Amino acid sequence: MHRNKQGQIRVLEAFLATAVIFSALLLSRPIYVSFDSQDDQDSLYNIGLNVLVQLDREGELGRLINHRNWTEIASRLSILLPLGVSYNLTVYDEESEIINNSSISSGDLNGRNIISIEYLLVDRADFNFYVVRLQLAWMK
Amino acid sequence: MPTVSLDTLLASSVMICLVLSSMVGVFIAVQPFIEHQTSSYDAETSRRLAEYLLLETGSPADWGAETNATLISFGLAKENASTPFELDIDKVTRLNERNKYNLSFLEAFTALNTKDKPFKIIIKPVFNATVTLSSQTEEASEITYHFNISTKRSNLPVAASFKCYAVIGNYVTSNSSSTSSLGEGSIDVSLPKSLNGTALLVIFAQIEPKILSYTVHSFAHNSGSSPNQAGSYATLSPLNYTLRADLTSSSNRILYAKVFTYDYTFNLTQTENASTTQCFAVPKILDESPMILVGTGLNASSSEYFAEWVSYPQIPLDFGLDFTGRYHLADALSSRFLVTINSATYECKIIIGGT
Repeated sequence: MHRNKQGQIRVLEAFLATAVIFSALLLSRPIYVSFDSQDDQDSLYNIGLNVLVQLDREGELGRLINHRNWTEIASRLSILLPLGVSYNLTVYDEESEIINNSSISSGDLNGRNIISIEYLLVDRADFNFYVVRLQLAWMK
Repeated sequence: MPTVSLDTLLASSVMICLVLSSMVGVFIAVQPFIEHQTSSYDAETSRRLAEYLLLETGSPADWGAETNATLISFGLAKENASTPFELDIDKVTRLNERNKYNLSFLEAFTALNTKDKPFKIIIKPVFNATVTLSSQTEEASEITYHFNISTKRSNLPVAASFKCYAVIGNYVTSNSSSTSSLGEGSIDVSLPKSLNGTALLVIFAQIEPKILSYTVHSFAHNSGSSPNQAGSYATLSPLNYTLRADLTSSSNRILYAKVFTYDYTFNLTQTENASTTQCFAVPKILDESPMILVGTGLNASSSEYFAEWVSYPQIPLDFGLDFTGRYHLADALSSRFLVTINSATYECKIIIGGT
C-alpha cells in the first residue's frame, strides 16, 4: 500500500515537471517577440538620423531653432519622415534645459517601442550649441 | 504485474515524453534566436551596403561625367560633398536607362564587387504632382487652357505652391499658384493662336524649401492632331551639363532649347550641330530645384512645332534587379534614405537582395 502511494507521487511529479517546462516555454514567447522587433528599431534609428542630417543641411535646423520656429520644424519633420512613424522632438540648450516651449510631435508614442536619437548641432550664425533628441516609434 | 510497477512504468513514460517534448520545445524556442543572429547580421550588412552606395564616390571619383572611364568601384556620392547623402547629378542620371550614356546593371554590379548582393535603386521626388487639362477657352488671338493640379505624398494630399511654364516653339509663358490642404489646385495659361503644334506645360511644385516635385504635360495647341509622343523626334540625354539630342530624322531639328527650374528659365546655347546629333550647354543654376530641359523645333512636313523634354537629374529612376519577378524572388532588405541632388531633396530606396 505504501509503495503504491510512492508510484502515484512520481506520476504527479512528472505532470508537475511537464507543467513547469511548458509554462517556461510560454513565458519565453514575449521575450522572442521583443527580440524579433530589434531590426525594425535599427531601421527606424537609421531613418531618424538620416532625416536629422537632411534637416540640418547647410545649418538649416540650427537656424530654425535659433528663430524658435517650432511649427516649421514640425512641418518639415512630418514631410521628411515616412508615413506611419510617430515622433517627438525635444531641443536642449548647452545647460541641458528644454528650450522648445511647444510640443514638436506627431502621433502617439505612449505604449510603443521608442527609439531615441541624440543629435548635436551648432547654430552657425550665433554659435549657439544645441542638443536635439528625436524620439520615434512605428504606428501599429 | 504489481500496481507499483505499473505506476513506475507510467511515471517513466511520462518523464520520457517530458524530456522529448522539452527538447523539442527548447529547440523551437531557441531556433528563432539562432536564426535572428544570422538574419540580423545579414540585415546589418545590407544596410551598411546601402549606405556605402550613397556615401562613397566610387572609382574613378568622376565616373558620372567621364563616360569613357572604366568603372572600378560603384558609388553615387558627389566628389567633395559637403554633407552626407549628397549625390552626384551625373552618376544618378547615368542610372536612367533612357539616357544615352546609361550604365548597365551588370557594370554596376561587377564594380560593386559583392557577388551575393544583387540590388535595386529607386530615386524619386518626396511627393508627386499630377496635372490634367480640364477645359480650354478660345479667344480672338489666344487660347486659354485650364489645368487641374494635384499634389500627393504616398497618395495622401499635401499642400504645395507651384510654378508652371507653358512652352511652344520659342514662346514661354509662366504662372504660379498653390494647392490647398486637400492637394488640389488649378491654373490657367494662354498661348497665342499664331503658333500651333505640341505645347508643354512644365510644373514645379514645392512643399518646403528644397523639397520639390515636377511634372510635364504635353498637349496639342491650335492643332487637329494629338501631341507628339515622347522620343518621336529626338531623344534627349543630359550629362556633364551638356544636353545631347539624338534626332530621329536629320530634317526635324531642334531650333530652341531651354532649361527651366522653379525660379528661372534660360535659353541653351548650341555647341554641336551634326546631321543627327545636336548638343547644347546647360548652365550651372544654383536654384534648389530639378532642371527640366526642353527642345522644340518645326516638323518639316506639317510645319507644326514639336517638343521633347527631359529632366536633369533624370529622375524618377528605377535601376537594378526586379525582386518581384518570377525568377528573381529572393529575400531582400529595403532601406529608405533622403538624398540631396543639386541642392534638392529626393527619396531614395535601396533594396539589397540575398539577405
